[in-house]
Amino acid sequence: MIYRTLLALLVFCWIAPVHAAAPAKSEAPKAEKYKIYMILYRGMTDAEKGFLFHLKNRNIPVDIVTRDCNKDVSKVSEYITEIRSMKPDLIYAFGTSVAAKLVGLEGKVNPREHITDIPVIFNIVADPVGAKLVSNLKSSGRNLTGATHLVPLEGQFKGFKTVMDFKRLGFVYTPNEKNAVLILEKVKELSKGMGFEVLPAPITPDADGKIAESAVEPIMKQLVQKKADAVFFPSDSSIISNIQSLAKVTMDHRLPSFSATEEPVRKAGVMMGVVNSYFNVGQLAGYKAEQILVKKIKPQDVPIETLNRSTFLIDMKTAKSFDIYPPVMVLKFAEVISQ
Amino acid sequence: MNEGAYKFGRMTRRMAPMFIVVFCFSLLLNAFLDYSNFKRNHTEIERSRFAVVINDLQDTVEYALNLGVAIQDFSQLQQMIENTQKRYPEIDQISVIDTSGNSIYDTNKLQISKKTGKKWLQKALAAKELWHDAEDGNHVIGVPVVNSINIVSATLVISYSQKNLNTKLEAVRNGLAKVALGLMAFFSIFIYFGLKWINKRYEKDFQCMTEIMTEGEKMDTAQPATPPDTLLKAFLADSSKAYSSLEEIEVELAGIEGKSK
Amino acid sequence: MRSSKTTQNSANKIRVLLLTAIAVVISFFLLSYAALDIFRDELTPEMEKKGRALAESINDLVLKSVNYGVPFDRLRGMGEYLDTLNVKNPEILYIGVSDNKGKELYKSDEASAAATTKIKTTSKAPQILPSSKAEMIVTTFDISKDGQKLGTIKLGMDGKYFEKMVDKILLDIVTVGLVSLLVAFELLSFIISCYITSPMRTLYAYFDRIKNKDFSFSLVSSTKDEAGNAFAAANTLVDKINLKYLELRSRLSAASGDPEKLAPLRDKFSGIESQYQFATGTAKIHQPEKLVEYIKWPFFLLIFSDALSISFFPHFVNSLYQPLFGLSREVIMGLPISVFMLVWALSLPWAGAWSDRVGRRKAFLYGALITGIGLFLSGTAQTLIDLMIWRSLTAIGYAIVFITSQAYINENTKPEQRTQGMAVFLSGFFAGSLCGAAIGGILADRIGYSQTLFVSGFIALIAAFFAHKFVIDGDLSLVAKKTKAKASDYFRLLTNRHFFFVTFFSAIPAKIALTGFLYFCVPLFMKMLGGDQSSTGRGMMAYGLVIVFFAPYIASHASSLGSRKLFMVIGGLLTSISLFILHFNPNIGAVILAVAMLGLAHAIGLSPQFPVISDLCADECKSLGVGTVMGIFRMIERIGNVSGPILAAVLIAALGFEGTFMWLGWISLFAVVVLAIHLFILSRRPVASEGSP
Repeated sequence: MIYRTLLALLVFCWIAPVHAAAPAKSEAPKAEKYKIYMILYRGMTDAEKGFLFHLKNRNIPVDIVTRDCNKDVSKVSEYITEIRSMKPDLIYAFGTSVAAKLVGLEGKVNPREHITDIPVIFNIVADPVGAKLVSNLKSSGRNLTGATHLVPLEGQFKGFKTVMDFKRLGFVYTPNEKNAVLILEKVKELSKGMGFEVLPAPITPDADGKIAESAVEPIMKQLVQKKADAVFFPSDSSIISNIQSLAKVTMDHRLPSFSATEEPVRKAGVMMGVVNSYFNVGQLAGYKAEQILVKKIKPQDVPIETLNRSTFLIDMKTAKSFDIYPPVMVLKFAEVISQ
Repeated sequence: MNEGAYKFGRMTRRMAPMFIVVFCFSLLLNAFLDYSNFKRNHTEIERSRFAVVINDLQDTVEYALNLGVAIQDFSQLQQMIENTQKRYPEIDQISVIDTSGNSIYDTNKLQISKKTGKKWLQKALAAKELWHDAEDGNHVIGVPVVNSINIVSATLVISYSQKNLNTKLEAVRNGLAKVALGLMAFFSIFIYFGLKWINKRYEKDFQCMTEIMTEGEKMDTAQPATPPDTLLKAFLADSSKAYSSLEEIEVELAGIEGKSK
Repeated sequence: MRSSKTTQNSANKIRVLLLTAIAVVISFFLLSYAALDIFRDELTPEMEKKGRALAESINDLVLKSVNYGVPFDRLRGMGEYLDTLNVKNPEILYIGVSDNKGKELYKSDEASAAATTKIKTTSKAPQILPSSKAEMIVTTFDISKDGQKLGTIKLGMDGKYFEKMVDKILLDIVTVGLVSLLVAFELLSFIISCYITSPMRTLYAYFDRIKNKDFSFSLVSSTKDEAGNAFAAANTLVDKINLKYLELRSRLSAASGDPEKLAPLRDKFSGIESQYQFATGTAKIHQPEKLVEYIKWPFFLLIFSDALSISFFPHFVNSLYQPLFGLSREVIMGLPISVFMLVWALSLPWAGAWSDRVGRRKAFLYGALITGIGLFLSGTAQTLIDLMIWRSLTAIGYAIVFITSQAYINENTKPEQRTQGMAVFLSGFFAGSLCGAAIGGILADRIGYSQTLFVSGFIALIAAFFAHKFVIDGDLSLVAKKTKAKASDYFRLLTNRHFFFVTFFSAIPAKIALTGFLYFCVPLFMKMLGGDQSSTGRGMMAYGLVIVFFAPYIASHASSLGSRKLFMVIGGLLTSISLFILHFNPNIGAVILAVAMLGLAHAIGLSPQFPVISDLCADECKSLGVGTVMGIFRMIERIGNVSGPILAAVLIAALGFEGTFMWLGWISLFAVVVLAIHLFILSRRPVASEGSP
């Protein structure tokens, strides 16, 4: 009789804690969840997906709040007010304009207008220095860090050179885009060491922002006259929006073309580009978030970086039409678009 | 010459075994060196062969990661590893393991989504480059799969059978053993007879002494044997002298006793 | 007659050695050739398979490119690609891709022109081009797309790979061969002593007795070999005489006859009786001659067994590393060696006394057993504490064997032969040490540290066996009672300037160099430079080799006090030079050179140390006894043994290896300069006793 009672007690003691624990589990939330406030520009892109994927992969518990500007940067001011009351652990900002509105340009920071006390990570910013968000990529000196998606120019051109050699390169851009002008200067610098000549080919879109094929014709004729071997389309939004016409005329003039962004290669038959996928750049931003949230490193101590490994995009049909064949080692790792 | 009083070659028979043992030991050590050299080389070549295979797989997976495909979504990988296994029948299992130790893709379908219980898991997850280990009669090699921000997304592991190695090792063992035994047998005999030939002189010395001493038992001073050794000569002379002095007395006694009768 | 016997002895020794050498060399050659063939047979298929895997990889890439639309003959960058494969796989000499007509389109750029010409178009079967200088194992692989053959991949692998394989272990094979010869030599000396020299000497000693008219002893003739037979013959002869005596005695006492004639006869008989000694009752046993050499082989084996771990001991300690007492990692690594030295040093006096009491045979036997057990258990150690405990046990056994062997030699050599006896001891020690170091390294590379320690234990047990069977105890009562050194004795010696300087500026630095540099730094430094255990073992072998080689020459030249002082200084200088060389040239070759130089330094500088002391401290030697002075000297010298590893460890932790060598070099130099000043400048003659003008 006593024996059975003892046994029952034993079993009860064993089961009870398990039951006691169970309800407790569902009640209390995990103490360690980090609150992240994400400001998107044009909806959920691969960049955000990459960002969230990294955090999930690393088992970092997060609570996400998303706000979408829908291409209207002014909404950021509303979000700032919300942020001040919510006090998230981290803010994510997509794109240069959102970031600039959120934290202010360097030297022009106003603590009432901008966020200065919460870490901010920007994603998909082409040129943080050029955009005057920071002066030094190694440290912003403030509550800001992030991931850039442009492949360093040297890397791009080295890549291009492995596929074809060129001595004179046409640089097609719109003079109004400060971005592009800056890049032109950089390419000019680069060209000296890499053994090619830059042939600037500015082109101005019409009032609607469009560039017709007829506008492109004279530019290309000139480049052919100057004996250009190839044409480069930088990260210039007007160029990208009009890439179809640009690419067609370039092709008609038998000029191979390279691009700094993926759309021209994927959609317009530009021969190749060395690009970073948004997803991967998002992962990098996620990694920065990890460093700030988990490793407790201050944003000013987290450098602004881009990916080490980029994707080589090649349109094989275009290449074949020029009788250009990339080396096998490139083909091993490249993303080949069409045959 | 009293041949029966001594056994010729006894000394050699005591010396030879020890020498033969030393010789055999050193030959065995040598054979062991060859054997372990072979084992090392074979393991390395085999491993580098599978390194080629795993590196190709690694390149393919990292390529996909670069394109932005999450490894969990890279479903063709299952087919790929199965094809690889078919190509190389010695491969026992190929696994793609995520950072928490679960198999995402595995040629052993029962293992998928389960945590790998192997002892090399820690090593695999911590590795920055090709690593190798052994378990359950298999060799194991692995590489980390790194995404574009240099973070390990998963680890690829191939485990291949040691049967190949073991068969070869047995063949080598047999081959070396045969040669070694042959050499041991031949040279044991060589050493034995060599020693015998060399020891002959010593044995002869002692033999000579023995003969002479046996002769000398006759205590015949009139015909001294001609020993080559002065000390032996002295010994015989001294013994002879003692004996003869005793004999003298004996003879005299006999004479006295005889007379009194 | 005796001298001719000894020359005969050496001539025969050489013959036996030649015999063994022939056997070893020829069998090693034959075995290596056989191994080469076996390797070729068994490894070639593996190499082929590897070639196949590579070819598949190339095939995959080629097909990928072709599928992207690149024409087969327009593949770019193939040269660089095939090159990277070439580099990653050093046994591949040539990779080429040809079209379906056999024309070579692409090849790895590094392939030598010669190699390409040797490739013949082959079928799928691999081919070894026989008996040509540059053999290549060729594998071919077809590239096909949709059932159509596009071309062929050809891989050429180094046929000389197998020779190179054997070459890699050639040094090891040669080392094993040399060590075997050395071991055979030791064994031979031992066997000759046991079975030939000893019986011979015994017999002659017996003849001596007979010469002195003592017929009361008989020889032990139980061995059924030629010596035993000779003994038996001698015994028979002497028995006859004794029998005759006994017979005569009883006859005479029972004799009846003319008393006048009998009495003088009886007198005559008594006369003979008084002159001679005959055997009455059981004959006394004439003890076989004990030879000094009896101890050499067991001692050699024991030193050999412990020396197996010399080349890797610090690494073994490293693998068991655990933080202890808050000491730095390097100090902890040096600790076991220092502990060994300390326990060894402290055990010696006690061991000596015990050995005196129980006799050399028992002492050696137990000492060897303890050493063997200690070594074996060291191999099983799982933690540092374990290791230090077992190492201490080993040290105790080691001390017992050490002191017993020394004492045995002292007891079995006449005073004028002492130096020769010492030479026997030392050569046995260094020979065992160097053989052990070399073989230990080779074994450790292949079977691991613990397993090598197990082998050490086993060999120590064999040493015990030999001691048990062959070492004979002398008359224990004859062993001189040693007086224990008192503290005042120590004080007296230490205040003697000469003793102080020689001990602290020559003897102790030398021991620090030995344990700190050779035993501790060298294995670790060699590993850092990328050497494996075998090469470390060989490097350390250099020390013993140089000593064994040069010591006899040095000994014959170091006869006067002046030359002895000079030699001590030279020894110190060589030590510091060797360390400086290593500081400026931190590579494997320099390590071996430094080790060899240290050997030379010690060969020159160590043996004069005590003779110089006994010369310059004549008074103390007279009043305390040479034995006591030597005991104290050796005891203090061991401070160097114990502190060496710790000192080196501390230096390495603070300065790294190269800094350590420099510092040790400077310390050596400083010590020798001070020594030189003292010996040559400050004191022109020995310290005079009080009261002399």
